[in-house]
Amino acid sequence: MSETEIAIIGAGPAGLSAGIAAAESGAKVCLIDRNLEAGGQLFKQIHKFFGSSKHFAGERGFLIGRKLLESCNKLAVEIHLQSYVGGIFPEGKIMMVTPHGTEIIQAQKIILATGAIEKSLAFPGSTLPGVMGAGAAQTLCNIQGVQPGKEVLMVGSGNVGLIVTYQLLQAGVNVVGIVELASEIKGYGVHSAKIRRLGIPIYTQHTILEAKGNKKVEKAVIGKIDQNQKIILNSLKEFYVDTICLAIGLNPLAELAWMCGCHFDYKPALGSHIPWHNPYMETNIKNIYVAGDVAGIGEATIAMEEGKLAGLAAATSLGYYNHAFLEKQRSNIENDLKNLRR
Amino acid sequence: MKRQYVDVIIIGGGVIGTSIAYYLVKEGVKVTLIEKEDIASGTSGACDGNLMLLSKSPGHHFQLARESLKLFPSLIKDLDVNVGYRKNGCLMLLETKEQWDLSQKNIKQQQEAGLNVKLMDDKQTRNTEPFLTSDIYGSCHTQENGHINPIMLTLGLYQKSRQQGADILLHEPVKEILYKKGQVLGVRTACQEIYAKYIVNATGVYANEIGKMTEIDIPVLPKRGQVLVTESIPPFINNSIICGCYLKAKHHLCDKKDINDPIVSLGRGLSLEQTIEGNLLIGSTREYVNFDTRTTYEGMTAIAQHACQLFPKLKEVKMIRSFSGLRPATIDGLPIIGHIKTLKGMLLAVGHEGDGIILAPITGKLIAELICGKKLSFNIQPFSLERFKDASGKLK
Amino acid sequence: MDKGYLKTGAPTLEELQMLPGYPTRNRMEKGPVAVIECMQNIPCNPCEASCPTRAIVIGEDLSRRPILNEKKCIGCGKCIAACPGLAIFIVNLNYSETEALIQFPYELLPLPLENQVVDAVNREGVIITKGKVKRVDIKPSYHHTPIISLLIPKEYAEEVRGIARRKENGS
Repeated sequence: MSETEIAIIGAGPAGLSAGIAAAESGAKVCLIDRNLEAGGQLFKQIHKFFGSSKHFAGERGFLIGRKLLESCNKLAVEIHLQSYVGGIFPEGKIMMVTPHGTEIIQAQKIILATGAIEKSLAFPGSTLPGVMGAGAAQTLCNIQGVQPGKEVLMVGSGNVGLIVTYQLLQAGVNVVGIVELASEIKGYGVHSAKIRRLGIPIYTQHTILEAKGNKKVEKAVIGKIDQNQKIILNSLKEFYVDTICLAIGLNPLAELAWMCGCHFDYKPALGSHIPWHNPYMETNIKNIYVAGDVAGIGEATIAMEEGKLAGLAAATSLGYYNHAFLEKQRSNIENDLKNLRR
Repeated sequence: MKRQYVDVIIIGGGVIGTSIAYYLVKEGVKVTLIEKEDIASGTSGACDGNLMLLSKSPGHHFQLARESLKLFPSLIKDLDVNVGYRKNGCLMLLETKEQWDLSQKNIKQQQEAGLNVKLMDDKQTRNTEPFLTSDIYGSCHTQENGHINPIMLTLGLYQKSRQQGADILLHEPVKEILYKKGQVLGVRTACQEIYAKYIVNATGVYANEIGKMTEIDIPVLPKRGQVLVTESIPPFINNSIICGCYLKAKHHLCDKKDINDPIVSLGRGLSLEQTIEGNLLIGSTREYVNFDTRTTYEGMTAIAQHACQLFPKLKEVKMIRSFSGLRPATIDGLPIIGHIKTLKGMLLAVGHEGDGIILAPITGKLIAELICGKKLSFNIQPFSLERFKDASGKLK
Repeated sequence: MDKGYLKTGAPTLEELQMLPGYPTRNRMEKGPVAVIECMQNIPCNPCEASCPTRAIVIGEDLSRRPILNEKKCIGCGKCIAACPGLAIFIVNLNYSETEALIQFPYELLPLPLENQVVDAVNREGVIITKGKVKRVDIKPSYHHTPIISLLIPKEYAEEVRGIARRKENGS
């Protein structure tokens, strides 16, 4: 069993930012992440981020990831990789499963920065190999350096769908089109405009009906829907594709918060059931904080601000910062978040 | 404040309460069921699905469970949801010479009671369960066993009762029991008063909280059982499995000595079952920790270690979840079913501990028979509240 | 047929001309000027910071759309690579009698070569004319966003916003 003052679960943008903010105070911090590398989804974000030029705006995500990691290393923040948390038990006991076995970490404060998971969609053929989350396709392209397929149909026109489409094109993969159930495109117009310039059609008021193929995706069938959400039968289109990417939203990965007994609120706009937190990111369970997508689905820039706030608050409650300092930081961050969430 | 008049008020929306509602509405009785949270949100939603006879001590307990098991096939046919019911065998593993010797006597009693059970040596046992460790003495085996999804069963009973006219109030805690001169009158919730001739307390671990409203002590204590859930895997066990110390853990825990022994209280009541979906449910601890429903590292480790000892292959299987539920336990392991002598119209159907699922149909049926003045299909004398009282009427 | 960026993904010229970041035709004819095709209230402001003449203004509220002061704009093109949304272009209608010069970001490989004649596309990705690549700029300050300068017939200056995607083996 080892001891730490602040344990942070998840080393993505929120977790790393929390780690830096807390470790700068002198608190003993450890990060736990189940992946091979820290950084969460940052390292597959090869596009430039929106945001304020005060922060990281205009920088590509993976470069932001590198900067955060460098800061963590400078501060000698301990990072356990390939380690997942199997449970959080009474009195701050964290069960960590590492490649070498199970370890117990005793922490005074715990920050949950576990992120989110892609939503899935069931339709005939949706279990065929070749149907995958857009985030998964993005990981293949931008982390593993593998094309997920040659011809892709994208389902969902949110920012993830639009950005991944663009990045698939950059990776030399053809995207035959984007399907969007709603009557209007969900993501930013500048993202949609840049893929339209590259000749990719967007089918609003359309839905995926079927993936066809023998043991793998060979064709995708889409159809137009009318105002009553009924499929217009003579509108069906078939595409020869080997991959169907689903970009239909994210769900917070909140199991650990459930396990801790956190109070949840249902907030569809933020993705699903979200653990309640106070203005300092602390949940109703004392010493348990949340930050990033687990506290509501949003951009990485929001996750970084929330992580910073949680890290500052946890360190303050251990006596490493004074309250006046925390209060000042909180009001700045809150201001920034208000801007970013718009 | 709203007022209502019904025949029977049932307090508690678990498997027992909904089963009582189900059997009462069948008799044409006007029923209101009041649940403080949601259907199956307590014990019935946090337990395993074994319908097990082998673990019952010979006598009333065993007979009651056996009568109840007989009711399942027709009951399930009547429900509109798939409750995942299936028959399977049950195997009690004997790990030590001591257990083997003990079981010789136990099995004879069970056979006399009418259970088709046989003793198997280590080889026969491993033929039945190929993934079992070779380090085993033998086992007791019976084919009289079943398996069900407890949440779906409770929801099925709820749905059917409602369809047939039961009024079911959710998220409405009972604030007060109205009674006068030794006779119940009804209950008061935050927004209404409901009057009835009979009130059934089917609140499981909260039995005593309701009891206190009428100044009657009901000796039911919450006993926490932690359960591990694994990922879905191909058929791994052919039977529901319990270990030989199950009985001991089940019945002897009320000894002060045993409660303080972590090995006894945490890992010694192992049971293993595989759901239709393929997940293994591995349970369970038996701890008195009031109403704390968290899982603990110590509890989970104890369960996992014991399970891996018996089935070494389990080391390669991923655990995906854990949960714990509170079992309404009585000191002698038997439920409390029947009238409260000192308060006319008040009935109890509580204290089923880990047997609520298997005992739900018979409990529902018996309470319905009691209220309708019918001939009882089972002698409930051994389950009366009076058994806990001394000559002066005080709890022992 | 549906029109407009919310329905099709591509903004129409009418939508763009309403924007505070879209310069007048008159200004384009005088020389290079930024064309900011940023339609929505995105919380983002690197364009403002990148402008050496403070011709682009967003202000305190990050999510306001950029306002172009076309008199101050010198058409230097620093904002092109600064815009995370790749939504800023430089248009110069004063390049020659018949040709306009447009500059835009292009992040796909292979890059076109200087003096190469390529297919120029409009905002819907439809090839509408040929263009001649004048320059391909790759600067560290652009953070891996190459900027292409393309010469096209003048009448297409407000339509052409890119070049057609190309295969690895040539055009």
